[in-house]
Amino acid sequence: MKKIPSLWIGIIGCSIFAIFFIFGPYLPKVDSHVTPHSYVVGPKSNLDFILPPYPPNKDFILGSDKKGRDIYSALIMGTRETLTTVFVISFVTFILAIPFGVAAAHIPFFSFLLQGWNYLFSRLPIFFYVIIVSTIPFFIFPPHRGNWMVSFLIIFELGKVGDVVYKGVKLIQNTTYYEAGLVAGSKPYGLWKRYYWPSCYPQWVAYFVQHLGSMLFLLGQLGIFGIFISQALSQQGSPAYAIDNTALVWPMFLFDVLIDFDAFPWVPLFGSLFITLSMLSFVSLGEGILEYHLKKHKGLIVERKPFLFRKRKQHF
Amino acid sequence: MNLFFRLLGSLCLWICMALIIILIVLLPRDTVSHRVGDLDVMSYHFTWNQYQKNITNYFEEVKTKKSLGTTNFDEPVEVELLLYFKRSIIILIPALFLSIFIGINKGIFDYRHQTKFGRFFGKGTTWLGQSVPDFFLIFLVQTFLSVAMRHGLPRMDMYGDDRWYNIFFPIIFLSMYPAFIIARYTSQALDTEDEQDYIKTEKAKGVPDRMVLLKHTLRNCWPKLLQHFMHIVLTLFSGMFVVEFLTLYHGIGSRLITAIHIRYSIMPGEPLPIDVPAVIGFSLLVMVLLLIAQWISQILDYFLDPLKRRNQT
Repeated sequence: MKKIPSLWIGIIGCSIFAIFFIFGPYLPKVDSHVTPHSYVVGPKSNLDFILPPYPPNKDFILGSDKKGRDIYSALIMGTRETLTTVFVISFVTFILAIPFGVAAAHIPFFSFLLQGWNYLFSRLPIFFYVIIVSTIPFFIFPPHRGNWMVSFLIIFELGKVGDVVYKGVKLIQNTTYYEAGLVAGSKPYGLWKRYYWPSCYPQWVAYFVQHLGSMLFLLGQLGIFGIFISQALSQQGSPAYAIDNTALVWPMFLFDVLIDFDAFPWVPLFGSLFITLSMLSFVSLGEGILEYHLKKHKGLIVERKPFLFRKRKQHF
Repeated sequence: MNLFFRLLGSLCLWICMALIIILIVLLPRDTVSHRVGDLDVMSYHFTWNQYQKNITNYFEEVKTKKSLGTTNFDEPVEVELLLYFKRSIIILIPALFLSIFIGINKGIFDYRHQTKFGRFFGKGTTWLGQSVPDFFLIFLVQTFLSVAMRHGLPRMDMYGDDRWYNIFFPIIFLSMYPAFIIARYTSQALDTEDEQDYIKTEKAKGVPDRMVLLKHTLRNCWPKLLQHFMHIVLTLFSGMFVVEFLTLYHGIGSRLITAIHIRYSIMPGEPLPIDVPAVIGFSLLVMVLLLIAQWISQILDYFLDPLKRRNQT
């Protein structure tokens, strides 16, 4: 374990984000309500109003956006919502894809279904599907927008993930020890427990973690074009309704980037930096898990007996 | 013959996909609203009649005018397609080749340098590059260059498409992310190949490392790498939308985004139209390019993998 730096970087990175996730509101200097400041009184006199956005300074560590919200607080407070969305998408995809992939490896009908699904949704960029679907008026209006968008992402991803599961299982089915298991009379549950799961789960866990990263990437890309998972309509003065992103998520700082970038580059820069850092920790954690299991598989890492177990044995 | 059937199969699936996309695009986009108190309650208004009318009208028009329609800019779609296709293809093809070139070389570098420091610069940088999204790279480079230009770097045009050298930035931005993915696949494939007995025998016999790599290991890796070809092309295409948008390069990606009219505000009860002919035209163009990529991958797969060919005939 000591010799796998990517695993360490991944664990450390993910624990930092876990701390943001759980203790976000209690961290120092975090404004848990992410209050918008319409002005700040300057140092000279009472009439010296400074309008947002503010560049990084003592009060706003990473600066503020156009509404005067502290970016540092917003990013840390946004961790919860962003990571929950990403996690829900990936988790449901995997929960559906693993039985689907295993069934496809056994039953020809599911195999055809999986192939068709994969062809249909994996031959075009998912990004392209999402922008086409998200502009249908039915999905613009608020009540169920979030659920619909998440389900679409799951549907689009299911084929790809299912295919990875299918290929992993097929690889095991081609081995001789699997045949031995079949001859010995293993039932599907036994096959799953003793053959598929032990040799596939490191891959699946690693793929899951990396899938989180890729979903975050996709959400970031969509954020640039102003497509968000949850949107709400709000009326401001004129009869027209503005379509606003309601959730406090990282990609929201990427919206309007072409206008922001010239005048106040810190807004998109720090927003995307957070996405990059979390992707980095996910990718390296995934890579680390794979490498750890590869080394274990080769016998380079000797598994020690668990601490508690050993202690109890000494008592006897 | 077998190859021919496989190509035909992709074509059939492609036609199904194209039909689905066209049917989605032609959905009616009317909305209705009614007032409850001082709130407007808006909802989507779908009628089969309207949908049917949209579909028949569109296909009628295509049939009579022998064209995919006229865009919002009063140009036949074909004229625009040609213009934007030319612009996009001169960044897409070099970006693809550049990423393959960089990726495979980086993969070989990672594979050959597996010492402590080698790993840090080799595999370490590969997964670092893999986790940097293209938009962050663009922001970083653009910020850096604009600061540098303020401090004396000669001015150059980073945005737009009106100068010949405008293509360089999009090409570099586009190729970076796929390049690192290719590098990872390459070094992975080389590592697994390295454990094979025939490589061990060869090394034991004293064949120079270079020869082993070029003549045997790498050659056996091609089919494995080719499996990821479509994945790379897809990454490249989804990167295209972002890169073109952020560098203001007016290619297929940014044109499709304009045509699709992403809404930031709506009036109660107004329909939310999109530029239907343009969206259909440009979606089909993207899909045709992807179909060609798919065919290339299938053909290469057929010729590069002698085992598969023998099994099938």
